[in-house]
Amino acid sequence: MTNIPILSLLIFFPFIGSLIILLVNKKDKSHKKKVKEIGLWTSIINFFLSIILLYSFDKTESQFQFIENIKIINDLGIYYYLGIDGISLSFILLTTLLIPICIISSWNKIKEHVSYFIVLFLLIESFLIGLFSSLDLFIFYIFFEGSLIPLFFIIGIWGGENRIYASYKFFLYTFFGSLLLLLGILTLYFYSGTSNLTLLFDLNIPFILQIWLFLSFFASFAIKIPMWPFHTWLPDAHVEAPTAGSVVLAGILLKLGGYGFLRFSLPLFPEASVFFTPFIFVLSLISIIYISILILSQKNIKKLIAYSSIAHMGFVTLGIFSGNLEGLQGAVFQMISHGLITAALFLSAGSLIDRMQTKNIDNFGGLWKQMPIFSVFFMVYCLGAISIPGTTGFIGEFLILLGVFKINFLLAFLAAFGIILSPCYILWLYNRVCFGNNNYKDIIDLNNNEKFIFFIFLLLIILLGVYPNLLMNIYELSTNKLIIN
Amino acid sequence: MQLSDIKLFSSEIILIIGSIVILLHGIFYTNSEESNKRIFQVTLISLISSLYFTAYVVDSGTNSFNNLLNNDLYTLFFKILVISGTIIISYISYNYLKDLNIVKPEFFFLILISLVGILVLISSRNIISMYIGLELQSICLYILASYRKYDIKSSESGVKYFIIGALSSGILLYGLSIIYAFTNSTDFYEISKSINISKENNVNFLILNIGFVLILCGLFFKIAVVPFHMWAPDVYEGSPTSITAFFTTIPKIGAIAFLIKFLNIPFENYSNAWFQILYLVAIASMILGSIAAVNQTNIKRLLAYSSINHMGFILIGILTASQTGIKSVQLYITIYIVNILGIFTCILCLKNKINGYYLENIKSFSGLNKKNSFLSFSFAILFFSLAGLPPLAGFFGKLYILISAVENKLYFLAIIAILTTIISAFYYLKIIKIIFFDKPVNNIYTNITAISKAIIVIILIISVFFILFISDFLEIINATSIIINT
Repeated sequence: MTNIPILSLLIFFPFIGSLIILLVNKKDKSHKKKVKEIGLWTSIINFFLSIILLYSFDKTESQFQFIENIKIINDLGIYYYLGIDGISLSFILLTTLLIPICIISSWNKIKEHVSYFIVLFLLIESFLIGLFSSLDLFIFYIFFEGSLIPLFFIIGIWGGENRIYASYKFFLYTFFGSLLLLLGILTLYFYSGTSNLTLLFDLNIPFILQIWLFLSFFASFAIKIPMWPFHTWLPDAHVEAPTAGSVVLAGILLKLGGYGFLRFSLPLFPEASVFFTPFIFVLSLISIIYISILILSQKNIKKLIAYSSIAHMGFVTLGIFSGNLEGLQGAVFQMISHGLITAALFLSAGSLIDRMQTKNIDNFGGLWKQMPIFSVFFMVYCLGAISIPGTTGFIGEFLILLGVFKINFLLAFLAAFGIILSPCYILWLYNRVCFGNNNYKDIIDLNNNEKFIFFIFLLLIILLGVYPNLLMNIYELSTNKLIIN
Repeated sequence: MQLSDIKLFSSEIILIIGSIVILLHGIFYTNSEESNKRIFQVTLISLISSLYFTAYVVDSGTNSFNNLLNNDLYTLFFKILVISGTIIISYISYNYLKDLNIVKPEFFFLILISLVGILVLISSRNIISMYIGLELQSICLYILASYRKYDIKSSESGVKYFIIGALSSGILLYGLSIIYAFTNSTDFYEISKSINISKENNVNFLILNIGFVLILCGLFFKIAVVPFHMWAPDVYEGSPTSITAFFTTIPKIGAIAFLIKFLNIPFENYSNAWFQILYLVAIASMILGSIAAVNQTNIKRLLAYSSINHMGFILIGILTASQTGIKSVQLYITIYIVNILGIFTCILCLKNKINGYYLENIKSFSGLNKKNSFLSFSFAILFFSLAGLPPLAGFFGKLYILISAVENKLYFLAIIAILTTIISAFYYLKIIKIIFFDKPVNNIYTNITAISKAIIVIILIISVFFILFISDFLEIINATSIIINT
């Protein structure tokens, strides 16, 4: 098993699939169908590959596994250096799960440029898996920034009315952050002479340099997460993106920031992280409380869910910088759980918008009568979003609050307000969507595709909520290692 | 002059012979499609054999013509780059001119002779040979700019280019004469020695400073950096499109190659003076090049401003005065040339369906996506590459420039470079937006010949998979980035 470069296979399989799609004859009548099928099968095979990865992953080993090391730039000593630990494995699984779901969910919705759509999603998958498994700063950066290009097109081509503004804002905002990251990477590289992450972990960087480097990494990751006040690109991007785009954006791309903090900022700049912790706590609290209040006034269903992810990601940053095991484990769990729940919420919103052609919450209502199955699924996702025990949302936020309690009571007290505020907007959302009355006729309940997808999400949210060890076992040792260092 | 000199000069001599054959052919045969085709073939043959001679026959590390010219690996690298660029340009020009029905023997003659000028400029090690090369190149370019003589804009651009070019040559010449007066020599190495001696004797450097600054001004005119850039957008816009492709690439490589050599050989120990000049010019060019391009609607004007921005980047590499810097310039300029040539090849495939004009306004590109996905994808990849997004080639150019800046602790320059990269990403995105997101206008007519398609595909492969052969390419650069100081 160890001889097969399984990580490279995971990275390049979608890429090869997208090349094959581009070669399919366009004049063929069944072109669209063929393209979709190739895309779907590629992503499903990739999902099974990642399951194989999960099974051959040694959970009792805290070092990086499945190492691949090939020199690509002799001159700078840049290696194509891959390897995963538990944290990256969890995110890889999330990615390979969400991409086929995105393709299935837009099976009948995307009618124009179908082949581009599939190609772009497969490319995103390649970039994201590469990003989560790279252990070299430069390779990480290449994947990190490369993932911008497909999403720019996804928002720009299949987006809503204001899509061009949104795609620009998304692109330029994140591009700015990542170029600052590049500057930080270069500085670090010239200080240490290597871009190899495992070597860099053993490095003692002087405090002043740590501060600067931390800020440059922070600029990029805080924009990605996004943290208040760097969040303004997110609502626009989400509102305008097609449903599948929102799923990828909320499900995986927002996690890049948190993953970056865990993989780079904490282990590389420990003292600077401690130094900046109060600052980050304040920003996280503002993200949680201010944004939660802001959400109450949202009329646009996609915007509401988008803002709620900012609030939930506020918990993640709290957990990451709490500096204890509970907080860290909670943060990783919260990221995965948020990836599932928000993706599910966006898919639900997408189904609603397809049926009623409106994003305004006031136009919905009374759907429990017309769409009973939908209402049940949506209920569970909403309960997940307000972190009811038994769903994944609870585990994550509970652990984070536990970790935060250990360091500061007031902080935890304020953060808990977020948990009180989230039912306000989420349940109110559910109330306005499913109860009451509407003027629409001929609204059909979920079709089989949707039922299938929704069921997967429901299963995972409940399963991981009841038995969280299933996920936690994977990354437990990796988070322990972070604390020890 | 010895026989060995001829061998060293062979690549230029082939081009000169080729251009004379073209002229003679023009005298004896009337203009017909067949004769034009023959002329084009002669051009291609002389270019390709010249490339072959440069790569395999000419020895490196030798001087010729009483030390007027020298060839080392550094000059050979740039020569190969220049000649291969010209091959692509002469192909797209032939197609373009044939379409407009204005193929004439003079055109290829001028291209070849200006190429000879650039080659002489690159290999010069004496201010006289340098001036000869520069003027030979410039005079041909003045004529080429106004090649479409019945087009008002083309004539305007030719005249503008000529007046400003003549002025800059005058300034340059004045500077050269001052240098000669100060150092009593025209050879680069002699100048260097003489400056060192004067430094030891505490001679007043004011005169030398003036001369040096004048020379730099003249060279800055040639590569069009702020504040000597004003001619570039107008000239680029007015010239025939394939000539614009020539302007943005080949003469700039020549001037950059010479600039690096000039700063590092005769003025090697003078770097604190030129460091500051280049520092300011680099910042100004990057900022102006990126901001002024935002509102441009003509693709040629836009590329003119973007090339000002790119030249600013290249100056960062030059001013570090290190081998990393020169390497980064070589990498950056190669990638830039490849991308720009790809973009121009794509542009020359687009025509208006109704009046048959070539498209220049970027708004008229809208809906290209529906018409021809190959071209629109190529545009997207090439512009993303110019914007410097990984994993495309342009990223590695930018990366190396930033590396040379950070290595020399020029953090302020690096930050300016990053900010202007973001601004310039905005206008590259604008073109991509027009191609992919805007409502189609439906009057685009695409005309791709098999060879243009092949050119574009090769360029795309280089841009997308650059990461796979960057190591080999860097090895070549490592060997060729050494300027021998003897």
